[in-house]
Amino acid sequence: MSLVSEHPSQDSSYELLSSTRVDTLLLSLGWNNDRTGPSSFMLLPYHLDRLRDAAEQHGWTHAQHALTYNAIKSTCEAALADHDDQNQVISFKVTSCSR
Amino acid sequence: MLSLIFIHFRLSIFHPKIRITLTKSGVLSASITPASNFITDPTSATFFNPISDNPLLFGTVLTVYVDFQPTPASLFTSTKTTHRTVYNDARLRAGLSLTPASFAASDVLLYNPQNLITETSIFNVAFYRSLQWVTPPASTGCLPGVLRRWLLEQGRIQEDKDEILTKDSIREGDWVLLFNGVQGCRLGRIAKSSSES
Repeated sequence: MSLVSEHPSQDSSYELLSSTRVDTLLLSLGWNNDRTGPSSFMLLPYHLDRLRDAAEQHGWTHAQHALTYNAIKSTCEAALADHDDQNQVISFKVTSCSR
Repeated sequence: MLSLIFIHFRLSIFHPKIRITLTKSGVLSASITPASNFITDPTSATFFNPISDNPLLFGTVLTVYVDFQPTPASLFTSTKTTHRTVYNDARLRAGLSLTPASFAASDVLLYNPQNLITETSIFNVAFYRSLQWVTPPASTGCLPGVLRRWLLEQGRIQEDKDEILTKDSIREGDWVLLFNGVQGCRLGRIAKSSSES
């Protein structure tokens, strides 16, 4: 493949990207399991591989070392937890008396 | 007797898209945006047979326009980055905006200077040829997406080793299988290019 050179390694204004999703339905699909079993993150091990390959192609050696499955999964889980904290807005407390 | 009933309403979106980014210095981050939930296996659209099946079984059909300028292969097409100029430019050429509503309804099919089909602005693609879904090889410059890899491993799609997926081979009304790591597999249909109308 002939690639157009855009000197990416000298431009730090961009980041490598991978987009996945979380969905409880994925817990029931065996093909989406990771090495620990059912996962609600879609094909997360493949995202790790893709980011590793991309870091290599961009010559980002330092970034490559940051990439482990535990790191990527915990980053996703932390983002989800932050999101949930920000959105747990309504909590009703209903009290009733029965005699 | 006093009984307490606690009811929790969580307003969070339970099926969000997660955008993972990696900086050159090795900082991993993830951000959350809303997405609609899956109601079936997100890969089931690979079983759609355009000759016999009702496409509406597989959700909303996207309208796909064919670009009219080639997009050269580069590190920014063969790897996924936040630098998305070529994809945004292709959408704008097709008269498509960059709003979520536009992305949900329509897309643009890119090709390279060798006139080989590559991908759309957010999906890998496959076309139904000789009773199978055929996808452009990575040598075209398309992004080797995560779901594309899985579909190849499962034999649901085949790589176009014979370069049959040229721009000129694409016809109005062709069905196109669209797939990425967020939405799974979707169906699209080639529309008359806005530049030709």
